[in-house]
Amino acid sequence: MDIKITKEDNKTFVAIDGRIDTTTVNQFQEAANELMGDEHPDIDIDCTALSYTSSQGLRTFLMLQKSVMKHGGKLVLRNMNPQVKEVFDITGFSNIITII
Amino acid sequence: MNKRSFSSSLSWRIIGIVSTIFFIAMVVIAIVSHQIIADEATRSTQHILHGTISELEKPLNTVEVTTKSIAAYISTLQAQPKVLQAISDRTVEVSELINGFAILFVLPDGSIDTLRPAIFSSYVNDSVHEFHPDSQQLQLLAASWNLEHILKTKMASWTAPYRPLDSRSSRIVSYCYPLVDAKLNVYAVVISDMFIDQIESTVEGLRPYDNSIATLIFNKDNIIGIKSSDSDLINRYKHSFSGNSSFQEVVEDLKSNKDSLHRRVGKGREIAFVVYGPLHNGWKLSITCPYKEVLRRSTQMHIALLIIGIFGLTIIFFVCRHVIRRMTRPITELSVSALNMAKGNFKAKLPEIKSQDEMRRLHDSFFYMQNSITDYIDQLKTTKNENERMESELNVARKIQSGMLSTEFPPHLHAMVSPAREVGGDLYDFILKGDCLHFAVGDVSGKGVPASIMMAITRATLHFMAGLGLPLHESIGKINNSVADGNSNDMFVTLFIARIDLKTLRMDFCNAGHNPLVVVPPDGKPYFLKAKSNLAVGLFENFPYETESIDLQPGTRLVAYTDGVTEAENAAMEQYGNERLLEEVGKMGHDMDNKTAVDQLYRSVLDFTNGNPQNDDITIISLTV
Repeated sequence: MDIKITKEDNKTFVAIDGRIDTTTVNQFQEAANELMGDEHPDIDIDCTALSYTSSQGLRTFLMLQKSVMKHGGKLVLRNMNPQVKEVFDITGFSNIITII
Repeated sequence: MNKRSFSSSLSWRIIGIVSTIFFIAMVVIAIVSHQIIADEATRSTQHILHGTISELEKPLNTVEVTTKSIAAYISTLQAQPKVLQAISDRTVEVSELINGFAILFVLPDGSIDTLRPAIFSSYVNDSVHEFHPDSQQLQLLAASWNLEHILKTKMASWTAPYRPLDSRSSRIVSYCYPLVDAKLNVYAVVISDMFIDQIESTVEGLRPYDNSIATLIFNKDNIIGIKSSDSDLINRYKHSFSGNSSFQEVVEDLKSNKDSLHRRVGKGREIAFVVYGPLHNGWKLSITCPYKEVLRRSTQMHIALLIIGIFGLTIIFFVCRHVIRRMTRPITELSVSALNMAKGNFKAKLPEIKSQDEMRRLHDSFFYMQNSITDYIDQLKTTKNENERMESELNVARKIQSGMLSTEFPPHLHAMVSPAREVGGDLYDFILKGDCLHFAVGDVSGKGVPASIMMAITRATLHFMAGLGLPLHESIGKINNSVADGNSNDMFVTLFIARIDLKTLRMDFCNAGHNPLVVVPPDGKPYFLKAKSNLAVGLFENFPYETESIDLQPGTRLVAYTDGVTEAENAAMEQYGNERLLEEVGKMGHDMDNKTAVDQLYRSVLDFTNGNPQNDDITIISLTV
């Protein structure tokens, strides 16, 4: 899995390439931890190349959402493929995280 | 394989190098010393040669001076024959060297003057004898004296050795001195005889080296110095000259009256050097020395040196081997210790090292390694015990957890859980209360021990709530609040709970973010139950869950599951997926009992993954109404 983080003005852009599964979830968690400590609250994640996420991956997305809310910012997930979107839908995460 | 020990092979190498140097040095020393010795021998032999020549010349000079004096006296005297005879007699009597004296008168045409008879005296046995040769004897003597040559050259000369005609026993040489008149014609020749014994013994005694030969050459046919008893020597001497033209060259050298000459003669092992020089009267003295004899002692010394060298090298080899073996003994002993350690004896005793060199460092490193390994193994043992303890605790936990999930199923229902690890986060529950069948299926995010604790809480709350008979969304709401409270870890549970009135076949259900149920109506295709997804339990307190309802047809089969089924992966990372699930469920007949249905679906998942490790808990429930 490959995570690219770029910062522009007050917005953080993240692009995830690959799968978030048992072997890569820690890497994703570490990247998320960095973002959570950030002063710039708006985070835009490009999920075009995200092919799968496990329930632990969902948990990390949730923690990111909670952190962003606490800092008064906004988390946006973009271009999610249908399989990944389905997981967000089933668990009801689509209700609490902005997916466009 | 080379089984030679380290000490031996190192010793062999040392010996190889040392002996190479030794032999090269030996060869150089041999060549140089032979050269030096040969040069020195040539010089010293030349010295001896010159000494001997001086020694030989002394009596010759005496004879010559004496003869010349008498001749001068005679030429001025014009004496009577009687007086001349008296002078002659007196000469042989007085002179120690001259033992024969003669005066021969010649005519200007070179013939012997018969009118003035020749005078001959000799000294034999302490008395003077007079000798009167006849004309034939006179001719023989003239030949011996080489009279013709003297008359021609008008010069004094020495004869070659010859045997006297009178009673004298030994061979003699004669000094012939011509007397010349005013017209430069020779009118008389004065002859003094001298025994050759002393010269012969001097020459024969001249032996600077064994087998060396000294010769005195008077002319081509008269050589003294080689005794007839030395026949072997004569052959060798001749051989040494016959191999090449050296003898001729020696003669040429001598004719040219060069001084201090020497040559190398012969060939093969019979080579020799010859030094030679002329006497003032034209005689030539030569000494031939075979190199073999000259270098004999030096060769013997070299052989002795070689033997000592070989002996010394042998000793060096054994000493080297012994010393190296002693120095490398710790390596041998350390290798034994290493072997013992390899066999499991980590307390193997190490050899004692007293030196402070590389061996000491090797020993210390070895000692350090031994201690490290021992420590590491102790640590490993501790860890292993710890692991075993945790494993046994996990086994207990697994039993407790599986005990939570009831395996005594009511009619028309069957369920199974297969955790990915010892303990899992999946759960199911059912209660048959009167005509109402409560059932639930859930999945805690993550897996292992953290998920299992969450699962236990959820399962207990769920079971408790089911008994209260509250509306489903209220039950879920309470569970949600209970789980969310203090859920600092942001874990969540997806949950589907349902209540079926077995009389009316009306099913109330509430879905908290769980995978949709598969519904198989009698004589119909399986489909996913449409339900509001709501939100997984444990995330936000007071989330407004909603209860939904559906009327089921008799003979309907319901299949509930967790994402461990649909997200099961094969080695190619393909997922089992929803389509395959519907297809597999569709294969189940309506009369198939629920246990077979559950087993068949689980089997199809295992077939799909084909041995790829299970990475999530799998739960399957099948029920029929």
